[in-house]
Amino acid sequence: MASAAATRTAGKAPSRPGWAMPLRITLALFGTYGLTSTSTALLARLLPGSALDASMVASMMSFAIATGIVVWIFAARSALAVTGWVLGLMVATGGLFWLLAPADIRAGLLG
Amino acid sequence: MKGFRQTQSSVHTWTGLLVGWVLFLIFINGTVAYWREEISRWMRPELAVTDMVRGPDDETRMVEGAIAALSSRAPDAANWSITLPSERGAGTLAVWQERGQARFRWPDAHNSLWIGGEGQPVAVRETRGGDFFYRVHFDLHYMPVIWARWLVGFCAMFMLVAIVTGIITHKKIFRDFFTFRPGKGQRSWLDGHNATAVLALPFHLMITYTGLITLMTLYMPWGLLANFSDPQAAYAELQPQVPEAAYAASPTPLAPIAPMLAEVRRVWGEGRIGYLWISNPGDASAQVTIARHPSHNIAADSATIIFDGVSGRALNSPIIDGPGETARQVMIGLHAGRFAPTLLRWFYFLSGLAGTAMVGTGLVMWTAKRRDKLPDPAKPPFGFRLVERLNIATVAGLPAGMVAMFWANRLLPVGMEGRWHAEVQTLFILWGLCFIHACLRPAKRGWVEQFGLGALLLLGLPLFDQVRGAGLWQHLMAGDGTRMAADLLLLALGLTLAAIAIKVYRHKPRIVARKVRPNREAALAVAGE
Repeated sequence: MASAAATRTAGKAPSRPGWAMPLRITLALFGTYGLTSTSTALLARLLPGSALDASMVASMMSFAIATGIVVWIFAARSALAVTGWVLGLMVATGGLFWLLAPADIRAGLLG
Repeated sequence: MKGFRQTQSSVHTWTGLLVGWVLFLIFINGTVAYWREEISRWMRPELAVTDMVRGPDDETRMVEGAIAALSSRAPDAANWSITLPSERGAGTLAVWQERGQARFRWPDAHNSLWIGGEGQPVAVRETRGGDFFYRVHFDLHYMPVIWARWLVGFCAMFMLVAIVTGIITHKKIFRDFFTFRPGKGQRSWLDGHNATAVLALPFHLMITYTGLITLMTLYMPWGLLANFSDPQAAYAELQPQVPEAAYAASPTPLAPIAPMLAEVRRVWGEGRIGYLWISNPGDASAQVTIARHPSHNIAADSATIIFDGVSGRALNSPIIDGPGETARQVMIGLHAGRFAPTLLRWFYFLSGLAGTAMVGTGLVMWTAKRRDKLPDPAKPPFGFRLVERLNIATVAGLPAGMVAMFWANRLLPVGMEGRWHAEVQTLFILWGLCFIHACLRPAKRGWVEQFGLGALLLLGLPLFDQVRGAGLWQHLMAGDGTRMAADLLLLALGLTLAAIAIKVYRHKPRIVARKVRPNREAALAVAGE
């Protein structure tokens, strides 16, 4: 792909495996949504103010968070390392949210 | 740092291309929708300047007229709704839903009527008016609304990423803004793209971000779900719900509406009344919900006051929003610009045009950049040709299709069954023909002919109205500034498209092998807007 070719000629990295760009793209599509969702949920619990206000502010911030994650995914030197970071942070933020969330919220999320 | 910028440049190119055509549609329709109410006035010429609202007395008269008309036309309806115009619109829309009838999506000749300035019913052609451009801008058309909104949100997120990576790619953002290198093929495209992008950059960032916020509870429900097991209950905290009373099947006259309107004005102080919802009219269980007009301030709040329809007594008090919820409403208000007075509205419109041009020049740049590197420019590969054809049909063909809808509004029989569907289909039929045309013609011809068609269609509209005897001159005599401005804007846009078409046509590439150059002129003209 031309994008991969451009990256290869421009970057200092000598050679990149063929799966690196597909991995980054997949991560940018799904990992971004996952990590944004867990961070937004965690923020909604941590932000001060009424529950509705905290939810709204967290939701509004989510698109900036998502943009930052995409930039990071394509800027990172190693596709594999950034995948690990994104998935790790997703588990960390999601887990922390789960610990902070009261039982009825957890039940609601489980359907 | 070089590597960082280069990777972001690739992200910018590919995210931009993949969603560029949908973004062009979103941008151009959203831009046009800033004149939503003016377009509605143009598309409903039966409503005159005397059907506009100038003060509370006009409002009361029109609401009373609407209720009188609804009482005789649909006395046993399940509900009535009455939508008042803002300062910019004309005519009040009265809609009813028959008991036991399924909910319909759009009002048409079978379930709605128009009320003029004296409270009298006015026979108006069936059209979506400017509302079409507003809805197609995020609901698209011919597909379920939820799919459309997800697709639009996906494209908007790509847009946000494309803007941010575009800024990162752009190391000399201020110097480049003052750089224009005409006659340099791909360079000129780049400069045009930069100029339209940077000129209105704060607008592009704002409009994309706030656009995502308008539908954020759909795209990112986890913020609400983190605090509420039932998101519907989130708002109940702010405003205790008034349950809709069950149908009592005991005929009882509706209380006079004027005192309710007076009470709403007393509670809210200034600001227009926008909307009334009357459930179970003429029944003991009637309720009247009154909402403020959304143009009353920058925050798009949804404050309503609910009255008992028989006693006329208010059942709730207005809500007080917290800072987070208010911030969300202001973001939505910034996006929709309903509060914007005329001058600011022009800035919204011109910034939107710059955004449309930014997407358009960006799309064309993708081909301009690659044409030089083609192994055989006479026989480009399939992908290249596909992008080229889609670019022509979208950037030049879609505007022509949109104008064709205005022609359908003028030419279709006024009493035609399913009239608004036919108007909308005209747009999509012409747009589809433009794509076929773009595939059959050489690229340069395609650009010239489709921009030319758009120009002719635009220039013809005010002339047609004038020949019919309801044109610029008559608007001037009636003191109708809005309709005059609309005709002049149609002429100006038509001349702009004509200038683009002529420049592309006249252009002779210096080097025959490089077909980039004809397109360059189009960028110039578009950027010049």
